[in-house]
Amino acid sequence: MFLYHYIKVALRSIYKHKRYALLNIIGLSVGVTLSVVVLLFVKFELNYDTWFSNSEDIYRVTSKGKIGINQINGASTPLPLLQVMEAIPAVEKGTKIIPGSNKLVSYEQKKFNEDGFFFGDSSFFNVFDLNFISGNPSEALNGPGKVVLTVGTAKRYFGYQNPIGKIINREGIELEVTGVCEPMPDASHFHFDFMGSLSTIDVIFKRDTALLNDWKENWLALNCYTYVRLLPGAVPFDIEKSINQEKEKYLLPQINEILKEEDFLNQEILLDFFLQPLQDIHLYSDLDHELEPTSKPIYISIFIFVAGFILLLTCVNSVNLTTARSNRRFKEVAVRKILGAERRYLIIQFFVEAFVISLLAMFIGLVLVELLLPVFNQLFQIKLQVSQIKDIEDIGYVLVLTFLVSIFSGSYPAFFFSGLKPGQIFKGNFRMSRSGLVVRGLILTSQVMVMLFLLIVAAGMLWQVRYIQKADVGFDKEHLLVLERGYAVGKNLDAFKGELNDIEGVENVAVSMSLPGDEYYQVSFRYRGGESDRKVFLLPVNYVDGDYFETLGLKLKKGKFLSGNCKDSLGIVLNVQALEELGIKKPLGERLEIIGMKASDGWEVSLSGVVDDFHFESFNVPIKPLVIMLLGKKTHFNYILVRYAPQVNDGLSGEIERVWDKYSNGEPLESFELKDRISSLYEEEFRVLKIISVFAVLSIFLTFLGVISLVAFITEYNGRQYSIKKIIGAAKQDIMMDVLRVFGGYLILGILLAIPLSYLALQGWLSSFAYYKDLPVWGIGVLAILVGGVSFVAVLVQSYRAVSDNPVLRLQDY
Amino acid sequence: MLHARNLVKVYRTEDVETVALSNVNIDIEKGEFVAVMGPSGCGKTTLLNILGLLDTPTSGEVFFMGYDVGKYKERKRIQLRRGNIGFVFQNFNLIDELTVFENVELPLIYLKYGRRERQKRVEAVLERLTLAHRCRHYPVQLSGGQQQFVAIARALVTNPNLILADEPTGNLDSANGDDVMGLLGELNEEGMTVVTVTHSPSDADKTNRIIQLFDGHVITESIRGRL
Repeated sequence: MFLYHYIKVALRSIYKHKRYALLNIIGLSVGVTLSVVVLLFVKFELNYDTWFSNSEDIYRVTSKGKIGINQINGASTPLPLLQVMEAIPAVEKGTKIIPGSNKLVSYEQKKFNEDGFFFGDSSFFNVFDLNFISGNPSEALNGPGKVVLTVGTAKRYFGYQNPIGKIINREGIELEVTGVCEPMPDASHFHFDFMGSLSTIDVIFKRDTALLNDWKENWLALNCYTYVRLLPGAVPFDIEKSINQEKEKYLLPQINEILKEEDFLNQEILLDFFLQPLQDIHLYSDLDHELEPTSKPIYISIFIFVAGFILLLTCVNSVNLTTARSNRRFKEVAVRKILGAERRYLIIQFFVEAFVISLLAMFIGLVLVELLLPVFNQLFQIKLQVSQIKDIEDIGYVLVLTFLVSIFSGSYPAFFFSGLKPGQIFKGNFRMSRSGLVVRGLILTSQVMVMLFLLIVAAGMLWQVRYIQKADVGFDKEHLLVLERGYAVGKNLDAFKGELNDIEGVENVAVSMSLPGDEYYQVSFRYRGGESDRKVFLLPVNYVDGDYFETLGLKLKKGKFLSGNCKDSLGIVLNVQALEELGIKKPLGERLEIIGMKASDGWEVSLSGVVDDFHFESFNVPIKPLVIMLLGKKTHFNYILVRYAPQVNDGLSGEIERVWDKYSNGEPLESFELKDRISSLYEEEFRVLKIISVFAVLSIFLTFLGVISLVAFITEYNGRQYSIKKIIGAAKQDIMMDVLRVFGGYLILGILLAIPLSYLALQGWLSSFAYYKDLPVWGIGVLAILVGGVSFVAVLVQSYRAVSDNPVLRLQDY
Repeated sequence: MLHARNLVKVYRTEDVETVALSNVNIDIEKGEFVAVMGPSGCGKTTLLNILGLLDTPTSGEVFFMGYDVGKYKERKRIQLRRGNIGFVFQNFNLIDELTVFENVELPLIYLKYGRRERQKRVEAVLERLTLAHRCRHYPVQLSGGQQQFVAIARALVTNPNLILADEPTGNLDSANGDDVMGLLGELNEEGMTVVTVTHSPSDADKTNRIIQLFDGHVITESIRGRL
């Protein structure tokens, strides 16, 4: 009965005080929305790779060690490793996979470039036991030329036909479809569209068996990803120990052979293997050659902290809004007490009221989550779904959250109001303590602080992102179209380039192995000159054609760029950093020897020119030494770069496609702007910027809600005093200044605290860049003034409303 | 029914000590209709709060229905007050969110009466005060006089032994004021004990005993009613 009565009163009270209730519910809804999104995000992140049977027993094998001066800390392992591991009794099952490159896959008339192609051994589906729609998982990858497709991929190629037994073609290699499986769940550390049998690689390299055998047996070539499932109760440390002892039998002879070569005298080669729990990869792994970008647990902590903080602020705002109407509530409490209500009934009443408000906020919050999730997913590049809230645990979380919000927002009013004595209330000698006001003020300080902190950090990030976008990268990144898989034009490259050059608006066409932002090939060079005689350097190399330099707009420092002439085929261009690294004083004509590559081992190349340093990696790292060499006739290359005039007509891409179709044997054209590729290097930074900006916007909203709540509270707290002052002649502005005086100190304190904190945070973020630009002091000043100014205006507007009431009527309430 | 002995009430702040009641002795017997009069600040409301078990004296004794309630904890006072004392205030003190019916019903809820019993009692009291047609209205929809009648209905619904009224006509025009005092007189004639604080001599004249307070002391007592 009581409950019914309290719910009824709460709903009527909400209806009667619509403005306050609306502010209260909207504020809480925002906190709830954020909190549910964080629940989804945290759940998504913590559930990575938990989908397979005995996931907790599956481990990825990683490599750690060094070869000469190069440190190895990689997610990949040598191919022969698994065989040795499978001999260890505690290893129940193992599998290895190798990612394939982006290649054209065709079935009849359907052709798609596919970069989700992996090769896996026959036990892949025993370890990663994905659900099979058709085919037999334990036999699907037995033998060469077999492939398993995911459902979506199968549908793309075969529509509603049965794909089993159909033959697809991957650039000349025929593969029989032997199974169709569910895709890897979104929360997996890698995803594939095709899983080809590992032995298909024998078919691909059938004409190069020596290379294939070397590749298969080489313990220093880290070219595959190895996973093992251990028997329950097996101790990973013991297995690491066993494998690292056992591997010496195979690894040491190969190391000794290399160390015999004179250049590796006094150098060290170490390689050990470790087990990494599958479920830890996404959050705790940051190795070289990860299959997909991983995350960090700190992001989860930050999300939880920010969501908790915002939820707390919304609760505080709610308390302020509830107690702002204290005068009216005092009367109600007093009447109820006089009529016989015990304190516990009143406590329950206030909690029920808070619960009703929280429940409404929760409902609105969940609707907002449903509506906003696609926006969040888009903004934060995550794949959250509301359907993730399905089990009893999640519903429990939502209820606990509602309950917690009710407790937080209801407990102060409940205990405060119910503790008052009715006689006291009617005599009007009740008074909230001064310390309560100070606490509320300090909470406002923290709100203003967080808001300005987030604004400054977001502005600083934006400043840096704009700097990255506008900064001179050492070449002209605008108006440069990149055609992918350029090798598709084959031997007709020159004719293809010629025809592209004939298109109106095309200024230059060039060929390149790697693009800015790619991982460059590393080649060992021996330099016989310089201070230390005969030194070996491992340097990144890009293979290009003679038109590359002009097409990219690189700046020549010394000598000349390489041309397509035969005489330049053994020439190289170095950047300034490379000169410094190698210690070359007089560059032109200096000779370097290529070592380690079978095809070109012992070749000498001569230095034709020096290019000004340019950013061939992101701004996160300092410019490294770079070697640019000409592509050999048979060298595989990836990209064709097309420089076009700024004022080009819309038909350019159509024209390029026409020429491509003519030379590429019907392969689909894939192209992108180079500047977009460069922007994509900063995806993580953009993502963080977006997240911070969303939090900043939220905090602006919540802070202003906080200001409104606190002004409402203060004008109520001092209402009697203000009414009397008005009656005896104070102008509205005098009263407003009074309110402002109470606020001013708290606002300014928040602003002063935010500035150094945000500066430190910004410096921390900027330290991940080798090149950066600080947000200028005037920028921080403008933001601080803006936040202060807008807060003061909010105070004035809200207090104007409050002091505009008829003071006589107000006094009657007291 | 109500006996106060050497009642003292002192309000203390950091610097000031205010004596609201000083050695007050009062005896109110069952069935009396008593008016407490005196200038503002003389301690009338303080006395009423103590007699109504809303407040405790600084020293002295208060007996209500034979219980020594002066030292009772709040919970015990609530239990004793509930159902035994009805309150009527100058500014009515109805709960705005509740209808007339619900306002009158509230004390019965705290007394844990069943729904049917509550309905029966509320309807009866509203009928008696000719408020039945207003039972679904909210306080703001009523005139001041009607609101005070609802407040009296709320005080009556538990069938209390004592009604304490704090300036019940203070916010009403004279016609409504007369109606309210008439009603209190009627209730008294039916045997109910009524104590009212008032400024109005004409209201006080309608009672059968007047206690004059001045600076916390009882200075005169009209015993007309006792004669």
